[in-house]
Amino acid sequence: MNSSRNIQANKWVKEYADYLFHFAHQRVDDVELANDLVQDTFLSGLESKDSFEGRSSELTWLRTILKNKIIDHYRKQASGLNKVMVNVPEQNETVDFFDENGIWKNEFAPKPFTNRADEKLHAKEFYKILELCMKKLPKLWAAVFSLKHIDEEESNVICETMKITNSNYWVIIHRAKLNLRECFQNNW
Amino acid sequence: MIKNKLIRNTIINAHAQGTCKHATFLIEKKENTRLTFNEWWVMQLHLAICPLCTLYKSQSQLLQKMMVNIFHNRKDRTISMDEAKKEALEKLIEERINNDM
Repeated sequence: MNSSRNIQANKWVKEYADYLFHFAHQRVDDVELANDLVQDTFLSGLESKDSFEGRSSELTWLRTILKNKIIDHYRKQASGLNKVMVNVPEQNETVDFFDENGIWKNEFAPKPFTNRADEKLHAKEFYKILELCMKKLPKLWAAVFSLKHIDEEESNVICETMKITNSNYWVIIHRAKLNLRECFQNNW
Repeated sequence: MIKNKLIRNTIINAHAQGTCKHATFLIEKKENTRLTFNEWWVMQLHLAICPLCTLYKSQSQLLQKMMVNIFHNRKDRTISMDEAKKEALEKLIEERINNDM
């Protein structure tokens, strides 16, 4: 009946803050931002607590709010980028890496990282460089990758969530990987 | 007949679509989904003649594996919210509740 009575907001921080913070942090990889997202979630929850129907647990309900906020954040970050990356004519997309015939330009051609890259799969240095390069990548790509590997969403769901077309999705992934590899090679 | 046609198509494909730009695109697509037979074939043809893209492919796969590991670790790592932040948040919520009443 009066569903808001089932809500005990004064216990939210004690019971859910750590969980929600962890949920946000693994998706945005930024402590400050994760804090803000959790705060926004609690405040939104308070405002809409009358709509809580008690069909799911309080935690599930709050997590859904948080997830929507994370997706909003992804979209906001991506919207500026879409203009730069996706609406540019296709020829300009990878112009840095390939010549007019679509062949690797000399200065961007792949060179071996090291003789034994595979054995270094677990080497700390290797991962440090990669994480550094991942941070430099366009935010849209980071969002796509987080949806793919943390939420384990299918690509069509990701496209829908991020409001990108399927073909743009592949262009973005291709472009991101070229940049990532280039960054990795330059820093190794 | 069929064989001739296949060979002809192969040669046409190798010239028309066999750029490094397109091949690397297909390499990335394959990491994420199944290629059509035609796409796969174009990619294989290009890789057979291009050592740069062959190197790119192995590097791309290595980076992909590492990235999956990074996200895995991120999933497992447990970081709690800062205690001071929690206190402030608790106060904020309390204020909102009191204002409501």
